Amino acid sequence: MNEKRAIELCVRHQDPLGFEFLVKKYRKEALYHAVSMMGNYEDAADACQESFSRAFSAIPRLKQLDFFYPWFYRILRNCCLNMLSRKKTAGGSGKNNWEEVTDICIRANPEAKLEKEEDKRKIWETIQQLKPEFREILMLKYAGDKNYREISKILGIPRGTVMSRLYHARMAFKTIYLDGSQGKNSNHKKN
Amino acid sequence: MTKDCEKYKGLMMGLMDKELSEEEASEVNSHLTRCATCREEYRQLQKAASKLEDISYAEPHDEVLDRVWKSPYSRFTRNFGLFMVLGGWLVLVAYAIYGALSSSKEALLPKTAMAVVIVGFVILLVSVIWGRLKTYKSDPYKEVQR
Repeated sequence: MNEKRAIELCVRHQDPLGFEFLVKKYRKEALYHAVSMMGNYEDAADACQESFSRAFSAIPRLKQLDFFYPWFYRILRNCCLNMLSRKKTAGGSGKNNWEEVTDICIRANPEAKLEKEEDKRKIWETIQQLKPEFREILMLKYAGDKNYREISKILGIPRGTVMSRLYHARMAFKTIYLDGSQGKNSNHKKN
Repeated sequence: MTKDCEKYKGLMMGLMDKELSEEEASEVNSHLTRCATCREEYRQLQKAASKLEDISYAEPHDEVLDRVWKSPYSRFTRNFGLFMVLGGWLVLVAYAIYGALSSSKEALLPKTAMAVVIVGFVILLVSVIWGRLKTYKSDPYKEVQR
């Protein structure tokens, strides 16, 4: 089975086997993207589970689908943003403390200069303080190692917007990283 | 800084990430040689961004990967089992209530109290179902379309 055939099976017959092929193919990527938004694997797995089941029930309503992931990513992204705002209203995101997550979500490449725990912690804390859409694009770029064409396809935005969002994301990262927690209150304007 | 600078911000990122065409790159480069403010900003951003270069995703554990998707077959059997257990239980409860209400041995007061409790329960149930249906109507994912 290939992706095209699997999508066809899902769209025409809501075939669980076709869908399972797609899940197996993309679940790791989905989990990575969810973890960049949610900050820990537990919430990320919940978000993925919910998104895959929503996608499974929505896919037969599509007339045509060429690529699964960009379509699915939009469901996943909404789901993560909803969960984040629910968590925010519920008060606090206790699970996102760095000891629990850095080694799972982010790790330094073996030969990298990131050995210092303190440095790693500061970078992760800074990323956690960014707006979700900035966190999202920085993680796609750096942890996911995606180029502009891939980012633009996944996020469904033109190349120019990718560049300007990266600019604002890096500015925000720089401000918070240098100013520490003060950066939280600095309202770096969005494009 | 000139008004012009704004349009080079995005291109500066492209330059940093080596994603520009030769033409675009020389355009930004010539701006950077002219504009000290942008040059300084570019240098600072490059320095800050270099902090991010060493991060990567760590492999998730297998059990996390398995949690991501439950096959609809297993969900179906689970829901079906749950439905049967609940259905049988509800019939038994209804039968017991009917027996208690229709037997002439019980006094009038407890019978009325029981009827009130049952009616209250039904009202609650209906209101919960009604609320659920209402949220379903405004469910943003229900009609997810490409």
